[in-house]
Amino acid sequence: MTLVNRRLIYSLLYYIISIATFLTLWEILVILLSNPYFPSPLSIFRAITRIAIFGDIDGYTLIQHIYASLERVMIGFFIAVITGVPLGLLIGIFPIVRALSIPVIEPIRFIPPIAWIPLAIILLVGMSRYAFIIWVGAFFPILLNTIAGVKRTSITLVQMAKTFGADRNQIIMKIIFPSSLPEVMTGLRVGLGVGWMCIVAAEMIGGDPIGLGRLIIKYANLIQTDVVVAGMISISLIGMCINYMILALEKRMFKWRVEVTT
Amino acid sequence: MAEDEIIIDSISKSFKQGSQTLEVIKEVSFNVSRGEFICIVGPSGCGKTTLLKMICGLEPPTLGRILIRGNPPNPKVHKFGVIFQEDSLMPWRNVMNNIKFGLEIRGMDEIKAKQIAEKYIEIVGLKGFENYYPHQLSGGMKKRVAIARALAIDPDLILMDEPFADLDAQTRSFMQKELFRIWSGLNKTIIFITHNVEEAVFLAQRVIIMTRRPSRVKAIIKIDLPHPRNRLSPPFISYREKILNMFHEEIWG
Amino acid sequence: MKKSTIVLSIILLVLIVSAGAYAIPSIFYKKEKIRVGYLTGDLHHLALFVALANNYFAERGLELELYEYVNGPTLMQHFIAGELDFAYVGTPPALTARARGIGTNNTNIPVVIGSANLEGSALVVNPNIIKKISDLNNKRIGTPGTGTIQDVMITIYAKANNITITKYPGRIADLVLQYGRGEIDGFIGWEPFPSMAIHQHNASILLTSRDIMPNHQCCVLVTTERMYNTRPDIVERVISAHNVAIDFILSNPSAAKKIAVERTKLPEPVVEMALSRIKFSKTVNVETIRTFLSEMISLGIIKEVDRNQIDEFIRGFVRIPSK
Repeated sequence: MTLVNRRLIYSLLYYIISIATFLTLWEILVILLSNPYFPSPLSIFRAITRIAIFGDIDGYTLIQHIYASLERVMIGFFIAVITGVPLGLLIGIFPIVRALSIPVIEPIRFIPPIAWIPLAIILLVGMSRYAFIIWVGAFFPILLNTIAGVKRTSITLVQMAKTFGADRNQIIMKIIFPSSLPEVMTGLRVGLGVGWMCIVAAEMIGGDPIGLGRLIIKYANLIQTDVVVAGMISISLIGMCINYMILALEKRMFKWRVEVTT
Repeated sequence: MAEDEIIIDSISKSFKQGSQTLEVIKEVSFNVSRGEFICIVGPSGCGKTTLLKMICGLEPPTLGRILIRGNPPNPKVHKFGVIFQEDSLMPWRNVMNNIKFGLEIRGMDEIKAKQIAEKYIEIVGLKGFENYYPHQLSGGMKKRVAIARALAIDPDLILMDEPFADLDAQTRSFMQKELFRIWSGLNKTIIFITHNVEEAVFLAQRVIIMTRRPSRVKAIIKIDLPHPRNRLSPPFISYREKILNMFHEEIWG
Repeated sequence: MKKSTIVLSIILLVLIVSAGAYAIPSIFYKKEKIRVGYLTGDLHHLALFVALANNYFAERGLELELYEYVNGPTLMQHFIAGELDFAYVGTPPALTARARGIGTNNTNIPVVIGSANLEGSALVVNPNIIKKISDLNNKRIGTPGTGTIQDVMITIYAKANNITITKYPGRIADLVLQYGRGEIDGFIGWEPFPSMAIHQHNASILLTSRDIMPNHQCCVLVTTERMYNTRPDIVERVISAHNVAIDFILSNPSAAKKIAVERTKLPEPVVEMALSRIKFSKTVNVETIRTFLSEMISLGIIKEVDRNQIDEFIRGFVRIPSK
């Protein structure tokens, strides 16, 4: 058995022990509390399977809820990327853009995305409402990380490019942008995470019959907490998947980055 | 050494720091011939790097003028191969793509750029490392990549700012020999900045010694020794001691 | 004794006695603080607003802490957590909450101690899109939330009539807004919101809750099992204030309407139309509660109650104390 293999087996073992211990403690807590609204792991598992196969009280399956939430997040996130990254580059590169935009952007940054929901309900319709809330949540991490990435660009590299006769566009495209890409990707990862959290809050307020946030509220209304927790776990698992997918992508893209490889 | 490739005509440079003006370089003049290897030595903080940046057009002089083949320095007109003191490789590009960078900026097509890059990879002895990323290379190898990148554009002038300062003694000595080998093969004009006097004597045809800030030219010494130079030969040592004395005058006053 | 002295004495006596009679309740009753939940702008709870406006609670030594919720299920979540002592709430959410807590150690499950109203909800639709019942098929219909009486009733109706609708659950006030923008084709809600949609956005009534289930029990007055068992005195006083308020609404409709207008800040015609669809009644329509329970079992909303346990469950649920 190779060393790597053994290490893998050990980490897998710890993983299983950790989860099993947690579930056992949970089950014990269920018995100790004997609170009828505190669901046991088993009942949650049953709830997940039931919603996945037979659908919820209105007939929507888990996949439909997940798909609805994901679609909303992706649209809002996409808009956040195509606005946040270019604006971040502009702010990072041109002091005049920074001076003109920061006085406006900075105060807005401190309004939590959830605080925008009531206004969004009144002003916006359907998908645009969700997209807006996600955008508010994802935009700032993307913007700020992009600015930080530009700021971290080595002056030596810019001078190096200049001595080769590079013009401003070439410096932006060939030096500043690739150099800030790791931070941009961090921004995307954080932004998507925030967006995923916002979608649940936005869906809870209502409007559409599907979405994981809505699933949770539906069953909270019916006081069926096993399904509520089932919805929460779905949210967690998908959030984790998204995070790890982007991390893996980052690793692939930034092989050159010592911080990532070590 | 017929024509004057570079004319540096009593240039001065000063920086504004708040209300104060910091005078870094004062009335420096010297000429460089085509194909010449010049070393500039001087105490740290004497503005050697500033001088180099002015020569390649990154910064304009406050007073005086610089002419390269009759024109003020302009990276879009002249071809400069600058090797910076700090690491100047793009960490997201592998060796091949780092070396191709200058050609890319000049709009050369892919295939031709690749051929040229391959040639210089071979010259600097990095064959087989084309797909390595900078973080996988040693300090000496990184410098060689930077040199290959500078050479690849067939520069009018190579400017080197203490390129070997961060290397260990052995690598440094090896790199000096390598640089000399490359220079003698390609016959390029090189301005090489260092604060290592032995390095200057080993490489240069002429050594320019700078004073403390505000820097002037203290002396220009022609090193009349054949290559390969022996660091332990008496004439080498006497050149070295002569320059070191001047150097120490500047450091200790 | 002079005649005038006798007259004066009698007047004085009458004054003292009547003042005493008026003052006695508040002297007699020990002052109690109770936590009461109700729903956003719900005219079904007019008895509560009347009792507050006319000091019926204060006269009985009750000081109210009021808590407002967006819908019945949300209210019931707080109720079973022990945050409320009394609540005005729709029958189905109360049924759900009791079913989920029955047979457990939770003493905060609801007991019905009075009737707030019968009927009083309506399905309003865009008349250009939906003209008849069958037009409802595949339309977007707002409801005030899963598990609300309106949500349950439209589900029952759709199932009985073989119609498929897409329910858009949302907060009641948002439903009017969403309807106005065409985000939904109609909504079912408690009054005065359907009347608001009619006045503000030219919606029209397709169905009232009376059409779905005549004389159905709508909102009920509930207390917790614990309060019911440990403080019958307070329960008694709340019921008394509530019943006096219902009597007031029935005998003084215009005064009650004035209180409703003040409370909702809506134009009088809207309130008038809304009130015309609400039946205020002190009597609980137990039969319709049984129907609700049975339908909710069929719909899978309530799983804890067996069909053969319905009577027993209802006996435990509706327990109006006899004086």
